[in-house]
Amino acid sequence: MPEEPSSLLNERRATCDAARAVCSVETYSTPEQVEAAHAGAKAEFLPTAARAFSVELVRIRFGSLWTGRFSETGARIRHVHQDPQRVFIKFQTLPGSELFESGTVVPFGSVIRHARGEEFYERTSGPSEWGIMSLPIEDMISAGTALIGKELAAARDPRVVAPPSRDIARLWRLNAAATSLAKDAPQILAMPGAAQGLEQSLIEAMIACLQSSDSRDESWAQQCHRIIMRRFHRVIEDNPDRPIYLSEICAAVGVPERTLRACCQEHLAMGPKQFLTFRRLDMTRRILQSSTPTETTVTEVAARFGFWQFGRFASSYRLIFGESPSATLRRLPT
Amino acid sequence: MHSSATLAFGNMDDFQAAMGTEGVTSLVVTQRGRFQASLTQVTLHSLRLSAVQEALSRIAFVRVPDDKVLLSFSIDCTVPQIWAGMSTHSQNLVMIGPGQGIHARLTGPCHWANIWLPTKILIQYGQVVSDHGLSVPAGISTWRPSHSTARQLRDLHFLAIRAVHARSSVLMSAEATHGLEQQVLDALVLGLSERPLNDNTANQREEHELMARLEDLLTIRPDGKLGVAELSSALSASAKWLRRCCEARFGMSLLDFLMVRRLQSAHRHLCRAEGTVVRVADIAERYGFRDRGRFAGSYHDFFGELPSATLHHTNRGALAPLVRRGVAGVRIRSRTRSS
Repeated sequence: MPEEPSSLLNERRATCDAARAVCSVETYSTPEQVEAAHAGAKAEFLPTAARAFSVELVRIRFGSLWTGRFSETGARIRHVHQDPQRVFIKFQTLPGSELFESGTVVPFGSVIRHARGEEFYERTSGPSEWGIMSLPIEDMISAGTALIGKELAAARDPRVVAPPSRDIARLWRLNAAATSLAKDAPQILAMPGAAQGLEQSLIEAMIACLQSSDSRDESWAQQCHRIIMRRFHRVIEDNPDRPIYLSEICAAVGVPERTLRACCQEHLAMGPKQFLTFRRLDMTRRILQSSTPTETTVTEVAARFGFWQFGRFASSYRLIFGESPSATLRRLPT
Repeated sequence: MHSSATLAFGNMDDFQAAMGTEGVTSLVVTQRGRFQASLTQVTLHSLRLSAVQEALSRIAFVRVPDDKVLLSFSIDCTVPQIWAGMSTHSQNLVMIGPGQGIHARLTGPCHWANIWLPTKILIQYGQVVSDHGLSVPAGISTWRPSHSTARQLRDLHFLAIRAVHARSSVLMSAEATHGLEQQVLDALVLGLSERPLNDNTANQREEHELMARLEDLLTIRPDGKLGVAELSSALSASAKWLRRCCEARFGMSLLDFLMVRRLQSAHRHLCRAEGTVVRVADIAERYGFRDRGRFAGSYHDFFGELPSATLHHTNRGALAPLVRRGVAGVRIRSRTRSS
């Protein structure tokens, strides 16, 4: 992998028209950048694929509706705590890999409507592309009532809906159109009439998809697992700079290892030990990135985060992050 | 406090003294030959890991304090240790519960490992293991964790010991040692979430109890000649039962075992006799050998020299490989750090 300054933000911003639609196209190559870019949500990002990772995010903010598209080059786990003032929906725009929210698959062709202020683990199984849309709660309620006579903001739990193919296809088309405009012709979105029209169409298409009653309620087991995962994440959140190990987190969450393992397999596609190892590996990367060789050594950082087999650490690191740990350390800190 | 040390030994006395920290209260070497052993210990925050290398067959009695649990496994042995008369598979983990005592026998060169943990740690992590918590196994139990868990445990133990030998600076870092300790605990907790291979039956518990009392008795009266009848009476156990337990554990008759112990006590006395007036005849009598000729013969069989020769070496202050402390080859490296 060429030694490019991948820590620099690579973005192309086009502010179309302050009053009507603000759009941006950004590319991120480190998890910290992606986390910082999450507006309306607190997020943590953990790449899990054996390749250097990058995300392209196209975002458009209309007057009321926010829409966007993520294009990601590799599998990853994301933990999100959504803004409780808005209702979010998501859908895959490209088949191929699988998208899981809170352990439930969101199949290609379906839409997930999140609960308000939901916090959850989301994971992808490979390179993926997916769209996101959100409305403020009041707007979601009024649009739902007006268009399909349904109250759409009240769900306590997330719902996965499989709309008729005609409706989902329309949503994809409109999302693709908005994305193309933001990337290639943002000046069109600057025209108030055009922006307003597109926003309305997008909202209608979204509501139409959500009208399908073909949704499954979460099972009691799924709810329990979600609670456990929420506690799991709480421990991680409370210890942002500390490595965490399996027994510690099981004891803190208060469940047997076996139970936690089942929940993590669902939500994270891996057991807690593996997830915590990934996290420790990522923590070494963040420290190495912000340090210089005069301050510390790779061995010191590795050992601090529980890696005592230094050869194996270096090869795992290289596999996941695409460069050797010493290369990260040598690079100037950001 | 984190600390580590590695020591090598050229005589069994020093080795036995050092092995007191590994819970060994008595050590009887049962093979003739040059004595060689080494002990490496690393103390993390709550756990202590040790690695021991021994060349000669021996029978040791190990006692675990009331607030600790001991886990033991073989690293590289021609024949793994025999615990309370039961030979264990090289992949097995033996757990000795708080307050327990057990005879451990080696029948050849062996490189083996101990992990000491406070009982309260196991209880603390009990919930992690199962809904009902972990009942700390009393007595002696054998475990066969999954291949990956066993491998993890061995790897981590190996890394810690290697860090001591390499005088690695990672041992100085509190975070690094905490990380290692946590990972060892993770592996242990996973390993203990299965059932043990075998646990104590009531019979076995009685036998362990009997053997522990025997050791107590022998500690109180190390020198005199005790007969089976006398022991049987003192222990309130039938002679037959006593003999059977002993033969299973020692691989020899109780009388032979007692004789070897007395021989070693005599040897020890002769080695420490420098500067005092000692006669071989007195030693023989003191340690229960009525027949001087037979004593000399048994002694020679075992130690490869006559008792008088040992005494001669001691008085001359000469370097005798079985005898002298501080002989070439003893390396002492010790690093301590207070946290």
